[in-house]
Amino acid sequence: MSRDTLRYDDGLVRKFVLATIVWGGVGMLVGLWCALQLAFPRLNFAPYFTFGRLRPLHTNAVIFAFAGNGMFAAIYYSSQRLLKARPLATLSKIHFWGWQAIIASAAITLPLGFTQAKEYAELEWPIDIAIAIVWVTFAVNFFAMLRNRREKHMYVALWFYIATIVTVAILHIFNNLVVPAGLFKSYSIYAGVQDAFMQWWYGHNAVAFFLTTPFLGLMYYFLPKAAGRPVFSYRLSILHFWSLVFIYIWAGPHHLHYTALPQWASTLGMIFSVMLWMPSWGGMINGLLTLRGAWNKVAEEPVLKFFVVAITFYGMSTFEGPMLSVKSVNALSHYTDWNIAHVHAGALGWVGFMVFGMVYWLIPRLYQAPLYSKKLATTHFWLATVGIVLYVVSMWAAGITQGLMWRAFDQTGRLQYPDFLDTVTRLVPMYYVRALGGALYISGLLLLAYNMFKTWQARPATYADPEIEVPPMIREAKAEAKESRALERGVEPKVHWHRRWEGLPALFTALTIVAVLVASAFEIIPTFLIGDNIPKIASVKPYTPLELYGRDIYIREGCYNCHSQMVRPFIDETVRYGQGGVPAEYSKAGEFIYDHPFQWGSKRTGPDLAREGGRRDELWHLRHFEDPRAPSPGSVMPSYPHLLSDDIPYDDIQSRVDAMAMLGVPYGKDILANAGDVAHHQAAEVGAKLEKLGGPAGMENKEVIALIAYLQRLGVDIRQATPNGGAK
Amino acid sequence: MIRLSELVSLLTPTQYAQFALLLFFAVFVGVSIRHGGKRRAVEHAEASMLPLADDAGDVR
Repeated sequence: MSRDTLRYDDGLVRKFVLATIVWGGVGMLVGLWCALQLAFPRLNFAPYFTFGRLRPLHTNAVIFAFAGNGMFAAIYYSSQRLLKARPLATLSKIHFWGWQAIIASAAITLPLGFTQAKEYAELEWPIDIAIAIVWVTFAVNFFAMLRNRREKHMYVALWFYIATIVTVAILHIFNNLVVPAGLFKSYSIYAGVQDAFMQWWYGHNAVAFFLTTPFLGLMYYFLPKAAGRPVFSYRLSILHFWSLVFIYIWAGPHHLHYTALPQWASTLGMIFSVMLWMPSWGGMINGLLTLRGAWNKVAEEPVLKFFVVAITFYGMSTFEGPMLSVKSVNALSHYTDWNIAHVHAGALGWVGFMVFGMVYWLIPRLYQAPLYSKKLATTHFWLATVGIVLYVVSMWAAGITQGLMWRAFDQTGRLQYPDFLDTVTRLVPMYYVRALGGALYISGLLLLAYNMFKTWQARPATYADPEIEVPPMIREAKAEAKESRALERGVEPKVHWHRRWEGLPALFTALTIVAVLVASAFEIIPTFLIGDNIPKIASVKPYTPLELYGRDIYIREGCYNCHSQMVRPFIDETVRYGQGGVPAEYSKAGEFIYDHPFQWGSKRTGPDLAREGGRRDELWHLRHFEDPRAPSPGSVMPSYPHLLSDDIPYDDIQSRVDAMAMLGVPYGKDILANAGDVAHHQAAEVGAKLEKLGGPAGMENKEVIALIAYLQRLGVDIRQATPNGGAK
Repeated sequence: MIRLSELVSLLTPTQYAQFALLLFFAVFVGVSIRHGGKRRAVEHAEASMLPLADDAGDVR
């Protein structure tokens, strides 16, 4: 059989590794700043650098820039060697520079307040389109390598990569379907319950298929290489793969327990989340047992140290996740810092340590020089490990403290901590510890950057680029075999054994897509089509044009990062969010039918706002936005002075109303013709009321008026409803 | 003509969930049988060596 030659494209891997470290530093520093803002709220600098605008930048940078570039480095390095194929040069350039441009655009637009307000899917529609194009470029490049491969068997790591590529594309497209209302403003095509469902179908599977499956592929490739022995059980890795792909996609609704989501969907999410524990631990055990007989190397090699702790955190996170998905546990943990502890155990411990282990393994190979300092790498390991422990333990303590304080009643049957602020100020010391843990973790990353820089300095003048002798491409071998047989026999050959292998990439991709789509269809179709999932409430009306603009300010400032809009059916919540001694109605699905996008939130650093309308007067809100610590001493909320000085752009409101009308929101003819005038009229009324309360004059055209109008509307409609869903 | 929402409503959400669970177990059993036999052991052993062998080749 003829032989072929190949040169690996390690320049591409070098670029992705560098981007991983640079963006990782940026994303984590922004995270540290956010952590400090919660401990020292004066560190908020409005309008661009408030917690609400920076927190999405932190999450997007860490997920898509740090983990994303790390994942691409791992995929390009390992796939070239597993497949004996080289990626296409032009597509590789588009992929690398396109992805960095997307990250840069996120870093610019998020502080400017351009956001879709859906967690981990905040980027506005033009950037979403760019993401789709670059992702497809990546997919074509990867599948071209598969097509041109010279290795018959597709190693299990490649399966995890395939699952990542196809599923992320599906999730991204369906969760980001919007109607634009301008170049950087859009509204989700889904509303309320359905939007929440789609968001957490996406959100949870972003964790699954962006932060888990590619890093499992990384584990199955780089761990055996670092340990110098094959994976413990290849059979177990196959079961791990198919069980994860089939189960993970169902688990999203556990983010919505006790909300207005139908019970059946919530329970289904919980059951599949608990089932996830088994394959996840199968993978963890497979990883750890790969080191059997090589544990002595762990003491010597920083690479293996990082991998062992990463896999341990994978096991811990995948135990904690199913536990948090159990409804009774979730009732305590949800909306608290316990979730923050959980995601950071996964992100810092699992993803971060897998990336660091891989980078330390790659540095000497990519720069063709010995690692500058193994001692610095070991110091990095210990700094980061102590940092994670401080971070996670402090957030566990904060979360459990806050959850218990919310639900505490005293001996007289009253809430023990009726002022929500009491449950916030108690947590501030734990926020100091969290910031210290984060600082240690980042200092470890800086050591890695220094180590990498010094190793790079010792690189050869020209990188050796050896030519590898490899077998011919599978598809060419197949054609050759077919031709020779035809010549020998003078007839068309039977299907060769190559053909079966040739079909496997397509077969695998198809089966993965089927698994993902079937699971999604079982949850999504009934949620959207079974009529009684969302009973209508006659008193629930669309937002007025001014309230709609006020809602857009709420979204722009990222208020959803700290405030939920969902009163759960718990006695402590209906009492806490009631008015005048009357408990509040818990939130109903029918309340949210005009909410494009939904604003249920996932964290309560501040109180829930679903029943905010009428609780306080307009002047209190104005003073609160100007300086939260004036009416609420000890508050950690940023100040928003620009809301009191920036004018409402009345001319822009019409396009927003028109976009909502396109989505089926039933606005009347007057609003569809003159939304700006209608908004102006309502703003004048709110301004007059404010003045009457002793507030400043001349505020009626300021943005704060629109935001106050929106907040005063929240929860008002449901009070007008009759028990059977009619209107009083 | 029956509407899509009416067609979907013929089953309750619980029945969809039960059917989905059965489907998952069927897939799980299928994968286990396909890859659990001794016949596959040699193939798996060879496959598991791929990361260790992937740098092999004649360097010119």
